[in-house]
Amino acid sequence: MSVLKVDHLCVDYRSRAGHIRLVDDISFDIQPNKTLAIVGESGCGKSMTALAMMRLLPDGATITKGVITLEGDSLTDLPEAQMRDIRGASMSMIFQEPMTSLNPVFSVGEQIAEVLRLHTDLDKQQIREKVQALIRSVGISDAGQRSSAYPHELSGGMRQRIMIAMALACSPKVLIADEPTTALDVTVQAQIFSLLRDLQARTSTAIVLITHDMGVVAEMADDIIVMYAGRLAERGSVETVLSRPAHPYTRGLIDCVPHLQLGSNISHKSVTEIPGVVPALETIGAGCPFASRCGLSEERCEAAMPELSEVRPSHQVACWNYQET
Amino acid sequence: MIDQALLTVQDLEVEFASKGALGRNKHVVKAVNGVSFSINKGDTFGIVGESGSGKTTTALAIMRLVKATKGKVSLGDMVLTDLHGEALRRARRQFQMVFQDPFSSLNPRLRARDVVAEPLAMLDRSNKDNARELEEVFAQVGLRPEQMDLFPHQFSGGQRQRIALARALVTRPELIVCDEPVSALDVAIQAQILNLLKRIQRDLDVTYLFISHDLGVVQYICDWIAVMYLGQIVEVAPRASLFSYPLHPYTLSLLSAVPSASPGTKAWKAITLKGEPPSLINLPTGCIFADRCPVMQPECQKSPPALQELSDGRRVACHFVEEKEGTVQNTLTGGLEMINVLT
Amino acid sequence: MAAVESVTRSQSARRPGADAWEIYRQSPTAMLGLVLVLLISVLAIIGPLVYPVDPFEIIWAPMSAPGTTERALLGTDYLGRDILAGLLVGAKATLIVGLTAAALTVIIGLVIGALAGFYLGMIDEILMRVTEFFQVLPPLLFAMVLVTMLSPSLWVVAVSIGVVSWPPTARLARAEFLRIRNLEYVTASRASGVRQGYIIWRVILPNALPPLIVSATLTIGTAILFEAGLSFLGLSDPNVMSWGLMIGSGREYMLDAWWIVTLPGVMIFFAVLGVSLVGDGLNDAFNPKLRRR
Repeated sequence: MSVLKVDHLCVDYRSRAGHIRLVDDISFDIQPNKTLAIVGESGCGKSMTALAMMRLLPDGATITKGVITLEGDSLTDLPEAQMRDIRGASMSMIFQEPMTSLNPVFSVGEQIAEVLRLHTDLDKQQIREKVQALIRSVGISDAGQRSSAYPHELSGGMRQRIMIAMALACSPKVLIADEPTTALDVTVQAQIFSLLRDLQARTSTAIVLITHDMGVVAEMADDIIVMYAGRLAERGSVETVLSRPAHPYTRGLIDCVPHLQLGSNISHKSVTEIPGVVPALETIGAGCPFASRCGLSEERCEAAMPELSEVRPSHQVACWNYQET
Repeated sequence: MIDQALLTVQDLEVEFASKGALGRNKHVVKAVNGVSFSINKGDTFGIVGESGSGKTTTALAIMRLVKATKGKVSLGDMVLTDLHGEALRRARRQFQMVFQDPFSSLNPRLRARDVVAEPLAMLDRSNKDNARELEEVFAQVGLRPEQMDLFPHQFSGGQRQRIALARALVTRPELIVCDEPVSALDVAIQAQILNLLKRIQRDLDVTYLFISHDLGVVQYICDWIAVMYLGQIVEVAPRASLFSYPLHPYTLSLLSAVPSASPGTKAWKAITLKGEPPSLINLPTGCIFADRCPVMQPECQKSPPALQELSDGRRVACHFVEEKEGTVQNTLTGGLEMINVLT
Repeated sequence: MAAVESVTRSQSARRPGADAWEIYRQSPTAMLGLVLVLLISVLAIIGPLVYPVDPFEIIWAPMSAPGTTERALLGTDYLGRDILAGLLVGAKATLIVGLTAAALTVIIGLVIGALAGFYLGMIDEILMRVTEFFQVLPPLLFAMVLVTMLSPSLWVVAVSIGVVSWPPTARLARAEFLRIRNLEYVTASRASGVRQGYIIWRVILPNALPPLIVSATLTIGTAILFEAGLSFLGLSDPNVMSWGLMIGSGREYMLDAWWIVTLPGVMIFFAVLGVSLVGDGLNDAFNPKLRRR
């Protein structure tokens, strides 16, 4: 039983210059206790998809097609007031830069308490206890002292822990994490990941993890969707997609980064470049948007966008090379 | 080895005075504390460390962009730390720098041509010579001549970093200091720049000092690697040795924390370090890593270990590294296979 | 290839300023301001040539209302002088004072602010104390003292307005220099070995200019008001016609002949409104957050 279902989601951006499709026909669902990774370069629409799920799209961007359902209830046509009750309660989000997403003029304890006041009927005393418990639950030892600290007094890792405590305050069904460790050091990243894994095991929260790092995907996620220029390129379980990537873009994303190898027999293979850059969305024509950068590009790739098709059970790819088989 | 060293850094120290609230509680913080290393000509020397480790400050001090409070930096026969004013300005053609963020390191009001030509201003040459030089260097970094007239905001991140590299190359320096040159770029673009750096080194025999927090990148591009923690070098080793048998427990933890991109086959688990690095204001009296070390011994908190040199030129600052009959090992951590035991 | 595409998309080398103009053009109020300013400039330059009447010459009966005589379309003042001629000639004086004062403000403010913000330390301390000294002087009073001590000519008025209004510009310039001197491209210039003077004037200054241009534009408005104020108090050159002088000399007849003070007042209003709207428009146009990517 999936907790969150995204069905044929399209997000359009309208401006004086015209209109652009930022997210084009994206579908996926996610089970409790599982982690789904959304992967792609910047500008591929992964953050827009996340913001659409929270109904927090920036001005000018709107959901034009598709349905998002949380435990069977549609979020897409919910009035804003009811959506506010869902945000921070059954669905919450953490961001890349925990400094800018915390309010600098309130203590972190106060900010966690605010979430509880909004979404629960707890009294003052209960809230105070719950705040302390939450701060302890994200691995901060001196909770009493830390709760009265202001964001700038804490390190980046600490702040991200506080963001996680805030996001988990009302035991959400879904946690959306947008590049949660990109701004952090590797050892702190390892701490945050082990914290997220522990919390997930305890609360069965479904996690949507937005990242560009295949290492993070391998470490944290069960399923993966790869997006390119707003469209779905590939979808499947992390194990299959990373070991047998079907889309040339997925393969490119894996091979373009020098991955750390330990041991005495290290391969000295060069990293392969994906040439060029993501095309501007307004210039994309009818064909596959990756065709201009793809080594396997043929005539039909330029002519039409391939449909999503099955490579093997629960592994789909949108690439002409897999259309016949 | 020593006789062919291009850059030699001896006992470098950089102090910052940090003021507390209302100007009280003045502290002197050693952002770089006794760093020594040397780089051979044509090599790439990497410095890795986490934020606050002092790796960027080390680079800036070598570039003479922050003031070194102690120590000596020499490039070939030139003692950089003794140069001042006009002499320093003229010497800069020998050592140039590429910065982390190509969106902020290029003057937005100059055309690409003028950005790259900026360092040529000190060479007192004719514009015609410069024009030839510019065309050559643009070609070397993979940009087309007609792109010279564009402004930085018209380029993508990867192209901007190519412009930054062209600016560093145009005076034909012997040393280029690269401070996280790919970490602000999109994943797919990083490989383009890394391979370009490698190709330029092969073609022009330039030496790199490469600062990074990304161990995968460092392994890919560096011949020698220094690991810094809290302003000090804890381990320096050639690439092959560092990644096959890291000797310092911090190096081991750092390596173990990097996620691997092959699911199911990851040979190691992350050693989760306790807490966060202590503040530079009150460093521990013993080993600086003792508080967080997964194998800390009582001795570690009493005396700081020296950076001892081993037979292959490798150096490590840990009490428990031993060299016996040609093999070195850390008696507490063993080798890589110990990672999974320690987690 | 996508790489090729991204270049062809922006093939022409557009200066960063081209985008600013694009944004400026899209704001109706900014364009209105520009039209007002251009209109007044045209009046000041061409007006006296097309309508060559001496504004000090008595041409008709005093205090004739506008439209009552063909000799003076906008009426006459209390001495029988042509108001239209006064407005046209006065525009020049007003603009000269406004522009000179604004230029002086920017030059003093920029040099002091730039040196303080770049060198910091002792130089900064001294220059900022000097700035504070000028900032705490009551500006109108100080300008009055200057004008009274020297001769009340147009240039003295312009200079005294400039001398009292530079401190905010200096603070702004200092803040911009402080911000920009720590940006990476300035460090990059230092690392590449260019001279210090080049860094101050060729690297930092062009990037610090946009907010300074905005503040200079707004200073023109303030200077025009200042000039009007000084003239109203009888402290400007009585031999040079200006809008402020017209109001100042006609103030006693305000109730009997509204047009004597109202018409130059309306001109001042439109002039100040014009430059303020232009300043506002420039502020938006230079704001990188509003700029298209």
